Amino acid sequence: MRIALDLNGAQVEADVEPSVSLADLLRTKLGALSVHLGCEQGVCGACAVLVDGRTVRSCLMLAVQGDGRSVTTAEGVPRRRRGEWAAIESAFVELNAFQCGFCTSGMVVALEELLSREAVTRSEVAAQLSGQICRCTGYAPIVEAFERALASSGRLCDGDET
Amino acid sequence: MTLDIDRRKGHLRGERGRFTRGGARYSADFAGSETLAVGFVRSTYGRARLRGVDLTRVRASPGIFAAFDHDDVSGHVAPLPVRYGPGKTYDWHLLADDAVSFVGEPIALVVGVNRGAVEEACEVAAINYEPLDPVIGVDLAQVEGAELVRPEVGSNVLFAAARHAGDVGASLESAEVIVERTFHLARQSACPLENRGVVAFEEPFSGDLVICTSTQIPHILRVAVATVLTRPEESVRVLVPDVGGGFGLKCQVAAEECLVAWVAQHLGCRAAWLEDRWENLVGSNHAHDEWVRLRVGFTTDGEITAVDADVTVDVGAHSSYPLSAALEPSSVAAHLFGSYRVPASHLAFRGVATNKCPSGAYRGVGGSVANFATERILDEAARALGVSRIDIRRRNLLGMADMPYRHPIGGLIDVGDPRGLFDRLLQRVQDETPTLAALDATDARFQPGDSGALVGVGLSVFAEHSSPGSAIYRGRGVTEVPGYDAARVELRDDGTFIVFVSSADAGQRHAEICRHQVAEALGVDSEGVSVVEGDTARCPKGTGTFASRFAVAQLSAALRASTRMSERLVEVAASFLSCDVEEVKRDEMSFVSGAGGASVTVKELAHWLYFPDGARTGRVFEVPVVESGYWDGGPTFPNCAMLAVVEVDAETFVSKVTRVVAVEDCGRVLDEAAVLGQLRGGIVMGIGDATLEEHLYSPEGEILTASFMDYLLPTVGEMPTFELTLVNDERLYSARSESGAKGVGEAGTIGAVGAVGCALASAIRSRGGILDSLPGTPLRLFDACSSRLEKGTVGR
Ligand code: FES
Ligand code: FES
Repeated sequence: MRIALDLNGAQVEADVEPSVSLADLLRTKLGALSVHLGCEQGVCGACAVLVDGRTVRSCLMLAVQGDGRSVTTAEGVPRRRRGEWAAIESAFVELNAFQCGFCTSGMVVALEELLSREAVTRSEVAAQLSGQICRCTGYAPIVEAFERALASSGRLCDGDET
Repeated sequence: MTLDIDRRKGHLRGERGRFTRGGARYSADFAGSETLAVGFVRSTYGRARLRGVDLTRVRASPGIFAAFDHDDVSGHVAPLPVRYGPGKTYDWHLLADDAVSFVGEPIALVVGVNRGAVEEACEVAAINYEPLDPVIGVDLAQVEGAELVRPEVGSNVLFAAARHAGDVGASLESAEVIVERTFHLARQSACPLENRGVVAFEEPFSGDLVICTSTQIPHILRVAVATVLTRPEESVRVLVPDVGGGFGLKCQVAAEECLVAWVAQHLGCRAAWLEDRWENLVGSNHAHDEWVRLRVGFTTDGEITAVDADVTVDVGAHSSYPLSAALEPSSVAAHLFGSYRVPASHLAFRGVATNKCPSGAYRGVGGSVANFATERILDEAARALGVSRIDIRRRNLLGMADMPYRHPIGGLIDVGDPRGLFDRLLQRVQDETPTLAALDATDARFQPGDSGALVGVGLSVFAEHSSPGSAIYRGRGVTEVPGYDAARVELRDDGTFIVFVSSADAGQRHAEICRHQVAEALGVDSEGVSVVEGDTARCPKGTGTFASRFAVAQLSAALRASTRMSERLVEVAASFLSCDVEEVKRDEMSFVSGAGGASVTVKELAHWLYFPDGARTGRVFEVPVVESGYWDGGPTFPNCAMLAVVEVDAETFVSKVTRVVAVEDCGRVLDEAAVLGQLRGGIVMGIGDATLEEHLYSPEGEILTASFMDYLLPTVGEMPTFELTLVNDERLYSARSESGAKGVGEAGTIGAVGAVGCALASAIRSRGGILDSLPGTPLRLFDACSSRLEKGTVGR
């Protein structure tokens, strides 16, 4: 079946079998190699993308469900962030918020969802990260990179921690 | 795919920022649309005879080009000789021959247009199994007349060895107290976030068989592929793209890697196998699943008189290539009491085959359980003797004055100061009354935390064995692991340097660290140095990346090559400046003649060498200017002292590691951020091992943990507060490492298994629970408190 979607700001079309996952479509037909498959069981978060602004696990969503929607992968985040991106990238690099980098696209997408909000608390950062597995870093530098990115744009607030 | 850094933008490993923009490239990313997908029909039985494999329907499935079983490939693919002991190998048939021995074992391979088609076709393979009773568990495997997992070996004990030092019998006899317990660490696996993945093709210009694969051991893999395909080794080229984590899993040669290479060679196509998580959990290597029975004698004031250890490891259905079934048992046996004085010891250790997934390496290997067993028995001894947990360690820890120390278990330790690290660890908590009280308490009865949780504190002080050299592998009878690593430094005609190394990166930032070290040694700007890694055609042969080999063996090799290059440059400069070598002085980037004060830069020298003007007189220097270095030192003994605090919910028995304090001596700190990254990541991995991760098999041989819903990994919620100190004391650098580094890849994991394990044990002690088995899952903690069985003994 033929579907059309907005991928990282560009209108794209593709023929897909009904059983193909959104992750497979993005990787194999649309060249979005940032979408990593860590489990295809909906657990690790490496395949996270934004669909209409909300993070989803693209390994669990069918490609046909993406018809008419707007999809953002890690490749598209820098453009969405514009002037803010350089600081975010250097936060990840300087803080060593990745080693092997396999989880990083999913992390960047998860962060992008938070960056689209007005205000984010530390516990919301932790909650957002709880669905994203990293085997390398022990998480601390990722939390720090998230908080630095949110703080530098004035979005990190103390909020209600309960 | 070749890995120059920095100098050529856009290359892999070019700059780190690309990882955040989706620009990393892992093996799966090299499987383009022209690539055929390879999949495997895998055994659904733990043990069965194969009466027939019928692939007719598979071959007729839509999108399928070919399918092969053992008999189809046997004329083309030789079995791989797999070692299980010194001088002993058996033939590993990469596709099961007439029997299967674990769930997930490859039986047939299927080649098709894409992964989906291949997966569907695999489903319709008609495999006629004659099910046999599987051998699940080391007890069953060792009973008289047990069924044989590997009939060709003739015994389920694939590997067994023993070592003695001193008179253990007499030393135990004279001990005031003997503490005896058996400790267990569950079957676990490394679970890098990226599964394995292989893309292979024949490169048309050279005819080389190119294998782009997610591996830690490119050179060893090349030998294995050349062996099974009976091709000249130099016609096989292994390329390592970005690797999404290894942690030991990727330092085994996988049957699939060899078979995909064969498909590319046989069909003349580009072929890819991209492992999925189910395959990774059931069929890639497992680790651990080991029992350590300790009998340790103590004097009344807690001094160790002798250690008697018996180690049994469930190594699964096959020995592994190249590290063999000796790996885990030998590693457990080598790490016991590594930072403590041991007057006499007896060790017996063995690897026992069962019908489970074959074992391989996983970060820290046997060090994790050895550390847990050592520290737990010290806690039990302290309790039995009525001394504090701190004092019993102080009494036995090795200090700087003891070095070098010939450890009867761990071998000759050249340098280290575990006692000093332990003192520094205690200084960090000296103002914390509850923590110290917990450690002092002889009966381990602690105050509940604010939340009413059971609070426990655990200690571990250990020495790892990093970067073993060839002597260790030959000692185990393993000839497949070279044991050294190597480097080649070349001066290019533009005055820059290129370094080729034998290691393989999986996110440790090798290229960047190596570049800076080499630039410093050469006295040049690091902009003028690039590093090539992970390409067997261009890089010198070596062992690869595991057991902290990069910081120790690889960098030492690179520094040796750099030192030689520096010396050579001085000779060239002397010739250029027409002065004696002794007169040449270094001034920033230039060489200066002491006599005349004339100077020449490296760039000018390179030009002079590579673009001769035809009028040169005097000594002739040939190009290219290349120097090599290799390192076969080791092992080094990094030390760490760690303290963990856990809270266990008194109702649900769910645990939370709240805090990990560590003092680490990894020798010279080459890159502080990288070292801290290794420690933190390792600690969280160790928390997973100590609290969550466990592969389970049913008695029928079925694996019950085939997804991340059942095999639980630590998330951000399991992250503790980290309080980490790096010692970086020159007196503790090792002469066995030219780089001064002793290695830090495994410390976090080993330490956390011991410290967290002991903290959990101390937390449930107030409920009468005894914890000798990890992970301390809620169920296991609950059971320990309910049964209140004293499984070990304390007696005289
Ligand atoms: S690959 Fe989708 S959640 Fe793991
Ligand atoms: S950086 Fe390797 S999984 Fe996160």
